[in-house]
Amino acid sequence: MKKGFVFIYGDKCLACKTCELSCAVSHSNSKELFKSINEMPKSQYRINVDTIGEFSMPLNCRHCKESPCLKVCPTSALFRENEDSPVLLDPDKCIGCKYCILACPFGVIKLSSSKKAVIKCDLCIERLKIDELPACVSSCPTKALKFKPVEEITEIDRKDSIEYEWRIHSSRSK
Amino acid sequence: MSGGYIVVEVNKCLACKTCEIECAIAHSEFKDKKDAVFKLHSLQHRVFVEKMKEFSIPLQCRHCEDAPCVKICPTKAIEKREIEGPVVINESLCIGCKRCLLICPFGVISINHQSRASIKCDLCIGRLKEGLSPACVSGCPTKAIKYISIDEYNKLKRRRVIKEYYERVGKK
Repeated sequence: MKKGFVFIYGDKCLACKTCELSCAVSHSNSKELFKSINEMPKSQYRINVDTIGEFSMPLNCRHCKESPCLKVCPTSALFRENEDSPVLLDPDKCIGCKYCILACPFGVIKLSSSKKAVIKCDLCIERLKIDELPACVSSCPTKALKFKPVEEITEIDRKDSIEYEWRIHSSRSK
Repeated sequence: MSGGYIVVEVNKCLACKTCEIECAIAHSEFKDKKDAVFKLHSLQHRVFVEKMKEFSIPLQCRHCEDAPCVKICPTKAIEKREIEGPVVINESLCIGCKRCLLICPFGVISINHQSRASIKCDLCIGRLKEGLSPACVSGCPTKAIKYISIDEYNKLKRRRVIKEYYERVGKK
């Protein structure tokens, strides 16, 4: 099983909404675009692209370590399998009280249109189990979404900052 | 009448209990506050302001989608008609068995002093039909209680997150 989290590089996002589409398709019954269009109830997406002026950014569940949603859930419908696992939802336990929607600071939990429960990003856990990337990450055309373990992402960020420092340094020495 | 639900901003609540008074008057036969004020002891509110250390929060029915009270009611007196709509008690069908009181995870159902039926927040369904917001929402002096649809509420949060991100990171 692949391990990691979805990291968002907002400056690369074009707001093309491909991630929303592929998310909805991968959470449909058929997992195919053209079949899922006619499915009833319609498949819903769990990642949202919002635009403010020229800025846009996709947002999905951050799978927080100290999850506020997990703390307020009265029926323990939201849970974690283990320390590294994403925050998952048991729709049978969920009573749809919407407390998690209130508590979430990112506004990424929605109400399901078919079941009497909420829905949220599950990090495509079924795809991870067969060593595939989450649907939003593999479909993003500009690689604004990356799926990496935390250690690797910090390494990339460190290399980026060294490169940035080097550029400043070399421009000064000229 | 669009779907919506009640959102509370905990840091704005002063525990002034105006929402409780507004709620009690809205659910009484008195429509004028002056008449109601002298009979306040006989009126019942359906929103409860609870205080814990420095925090206070008004609590009312969450109008759960898969509500435990709807499931357990033996006479089908409690029903939810639509998604994002209120859970409503039909007081004439209620036999006062108090099972809903026991199963509610939020403790927001109470007993009517006169009819002994269960009562709870109905999202001021009559006021919503007239195009008004629920009594607790319009009465709150600090706007700690808001009536807003879920999609709208989520969108506001996401926009705030994106704004903060670009303020810190800046567009390259």
